[in-house]
Amino acid sequence: MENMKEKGQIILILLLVMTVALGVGLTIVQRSLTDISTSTKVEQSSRAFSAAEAGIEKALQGDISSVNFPDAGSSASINPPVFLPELNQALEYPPVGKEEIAHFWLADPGSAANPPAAYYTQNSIDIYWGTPNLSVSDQAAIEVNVVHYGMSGYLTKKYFFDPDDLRNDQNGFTQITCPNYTISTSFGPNRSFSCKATLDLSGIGTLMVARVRLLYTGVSQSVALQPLGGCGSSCSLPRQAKVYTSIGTSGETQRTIQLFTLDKVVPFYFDYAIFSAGPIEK
Amino acid sequence: MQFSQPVLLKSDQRGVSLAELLLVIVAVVFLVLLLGSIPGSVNLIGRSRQQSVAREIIAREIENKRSVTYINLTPGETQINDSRLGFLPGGEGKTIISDCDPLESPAICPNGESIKQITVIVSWKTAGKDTAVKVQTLISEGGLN
Repeated sequence: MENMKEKGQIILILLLVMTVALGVGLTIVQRSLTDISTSTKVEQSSRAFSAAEAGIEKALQGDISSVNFPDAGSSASINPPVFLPELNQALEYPPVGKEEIAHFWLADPGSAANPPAAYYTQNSIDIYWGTPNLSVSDQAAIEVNVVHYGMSGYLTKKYFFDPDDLRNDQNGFTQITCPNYTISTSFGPNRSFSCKATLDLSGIGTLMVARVRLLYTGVSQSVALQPLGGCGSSCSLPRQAKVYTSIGTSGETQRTIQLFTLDKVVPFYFDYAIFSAGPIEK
Repeated sequence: MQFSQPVLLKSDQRGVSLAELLLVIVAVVFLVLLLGSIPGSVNLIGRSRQQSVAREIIAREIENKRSVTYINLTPGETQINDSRLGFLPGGEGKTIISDCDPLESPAICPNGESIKQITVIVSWKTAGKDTAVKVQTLISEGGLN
């Protein structure tokens, strides 16, 4: 008869210790691999971004050949600039902030004449603005300042629209509703805006520029001007904007920069200046 | 006739079996390898942090140069003055501004455009080895800045 009374838990304890040590060790190793991988990718991203910026700088000088920085291990390719807007196409501005003004040419900015030659000649034009589904407090009112040229010289006509009922009572702006709109613009199809207003341009002189300002909001929102009529160049906005695209590459990382530029933009203080034929006395 | 009597065996043997011994040896070797790799892993974590600091210094220096008017970008080499260099062991930084050379190959400005090349280098020592991060970009007259 064998009396086997073997006691002991050393193997269990050993397995437990091994499991804990394995867990801790693997966590540290994994963390270090993740950290080094992430920092390498971020570094490459930084190089790619700087290369993309270099591409934009070259493109602004009129040279769209690629950029190479072999010492830094980065390069950039530049797409030919795209001229906007197309015929009958709405021109969309990148998001406009509280203190910024979106400037749209209605006359030909490339015209050498003074005043510039007429381009858009229709009696109305649509303006879209606002990010859909914002809270009421962030919905923007809009001020549109249309500069036109007539017998008396340069004149302005201002339009004010506000979707907020409570503000309307105090500011006297034209009340509108904002059911959200989706249109095609120079930035692509299916662009969404919350509000739309139609500007009545009848009875005023040769249209020059439209300057748009968002009011009562601290959120940057897009603005677009949609020509009406569909009849050709006189129903279209003149080509006035260029979009440059530069793609920077470093290692496996790519960064793309797009730059929206307008030539011949009136300075921001234009709307706040006082013009007088004679001296102004206070 | 004698029959063998059943023998009462008491198992009172002390010692370690072969299986247990092999298991312990495997466990010890495993732990030694694992613990030996931990310092290297911790070093890698430190190295990635240093790379992040270097990258942030470079990004700020490039933005500083972009805020300078083009005419004031004097070609030459200048030292970077950033307090975060203190986080890098033996950390140094320099900015090299070079005029565009139409004869350089590959040419950055083959048509003589008003462009300057900015090279920012941050270097430091890690475990006695020299490590550096280098970023290059261009700044043109009337460009992004």
